[in-house]
Amino acid sequence: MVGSHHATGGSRRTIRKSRVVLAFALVFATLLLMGLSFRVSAAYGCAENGAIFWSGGDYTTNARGNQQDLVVRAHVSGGCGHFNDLRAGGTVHMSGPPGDNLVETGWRDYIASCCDPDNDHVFLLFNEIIVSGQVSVFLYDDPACTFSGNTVTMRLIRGTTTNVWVAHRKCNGGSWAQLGTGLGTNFWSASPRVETFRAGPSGGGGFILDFHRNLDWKKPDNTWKGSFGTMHCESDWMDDTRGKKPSDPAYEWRTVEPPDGVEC
Amino acid sequence: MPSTKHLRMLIVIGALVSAVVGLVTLRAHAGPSPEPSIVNNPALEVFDIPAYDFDANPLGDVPGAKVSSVTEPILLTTETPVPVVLPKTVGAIPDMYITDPSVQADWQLVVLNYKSSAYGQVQIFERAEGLTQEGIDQWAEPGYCTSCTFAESVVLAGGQRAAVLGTPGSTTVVHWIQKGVQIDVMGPFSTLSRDDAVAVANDLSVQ
Repeated sequence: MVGSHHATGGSRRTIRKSRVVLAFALVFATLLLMGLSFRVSAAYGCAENGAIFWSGGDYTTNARGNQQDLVVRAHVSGGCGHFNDLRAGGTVHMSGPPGDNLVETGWRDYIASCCDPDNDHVFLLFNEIIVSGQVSVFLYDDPACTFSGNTVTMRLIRGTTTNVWVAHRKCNGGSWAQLGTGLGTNFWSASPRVETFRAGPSGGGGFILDFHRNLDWKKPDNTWKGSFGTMHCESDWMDDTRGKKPSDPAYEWRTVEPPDGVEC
Repeated sequence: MPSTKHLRMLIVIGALVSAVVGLVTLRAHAGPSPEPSIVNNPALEVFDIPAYDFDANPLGDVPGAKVSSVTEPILLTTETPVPVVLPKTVGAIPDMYITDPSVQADWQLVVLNYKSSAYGQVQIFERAEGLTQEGIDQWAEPGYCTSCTFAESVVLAGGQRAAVLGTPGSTTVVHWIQKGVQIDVMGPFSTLSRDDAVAVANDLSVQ
């Protein structure tokens, strides 16, 4: 009986302990959920932190192709995303005639999960066309090619008798693969550019490292130039990121932190 | 001995663990996709450039000239890369921007820049080269424009098939082809409504 009495008291203590542990677990879980909710709302509360554009081809607007090696990179966005959880990207860009017109192809770094915005990344390739301020974007999953640190060669070209532009990608020296269907624009030639962009947070701490190598643009006679020629800073809407070309003619371009580089 | 309740709980937990392990294993063995595959388009696209500035020179850095207060008699004596049509009902006299003849053929255009009491700011682009009819129709297809809150095909008063598009924070626009000229009626989304843009387009389409 004594032993039995002692055993009953031990069970009660165990039950009390379990209740205490359970209470702590509930409080911890509640705090965790509150924290995650805050992070999720922060992820959707950030504004675009801008983009950098540099043009090539000695100010030409007469290019009919643009090709670059882009290095896919995981960017830390301080918990801030944007619509669709987009963090950042690097692109091969063709700026079209007056009236807000362009076509581009490149990679994007997305937040993998709204509950884990800092640590997980989803990399996608994309094509984008803007005509008169209206945007159409197509996203492509390409995990064999698109991961942090890998180089993907991307290009935009148009056919001989059409103003429909086509994007291709080449993965680690492999063969070209077409990225989606053609992009019907309102121009036959354009200004070849490099572009780096990122989403949130604004106001410092947002340097974005981006490399563009083996820059090339296609001349009106349908042959490749072999370099980007003389490059110019076209616009820079990022306080903490600038562009830099090692040489003229430019074969590569990269972003650097101020005070290095050029801001325009 | 565990009670029936405990056994049920263990079975449920076991099933959940098995499901998770199964899914992870399947994903690990799926392997990389050899070719890019399309994923769902974003519901609403973001912008990596600032919104179009209707107060700036619409030609930007492209060489060209500005003709102020354009009327029909002035048009008759002004050399333009395309035959220019003016709307009758906008109720304002526009400034006109003309690309320089040295500019490449596919960038040759005229922009009529209106600040109208009826419609607010409206720019009319008349292009020597531009979208094809197929391209215009494509923009009107459901889901093609990922930034638009409206995108539709309309037949204008002059019989042309046009695309009417609107993107918050950006522009409202109508595209169509008229006598070989590709025309865009464009205004700020915040001030130019879909119906007003179509009204201007209808006016132009019968000129």
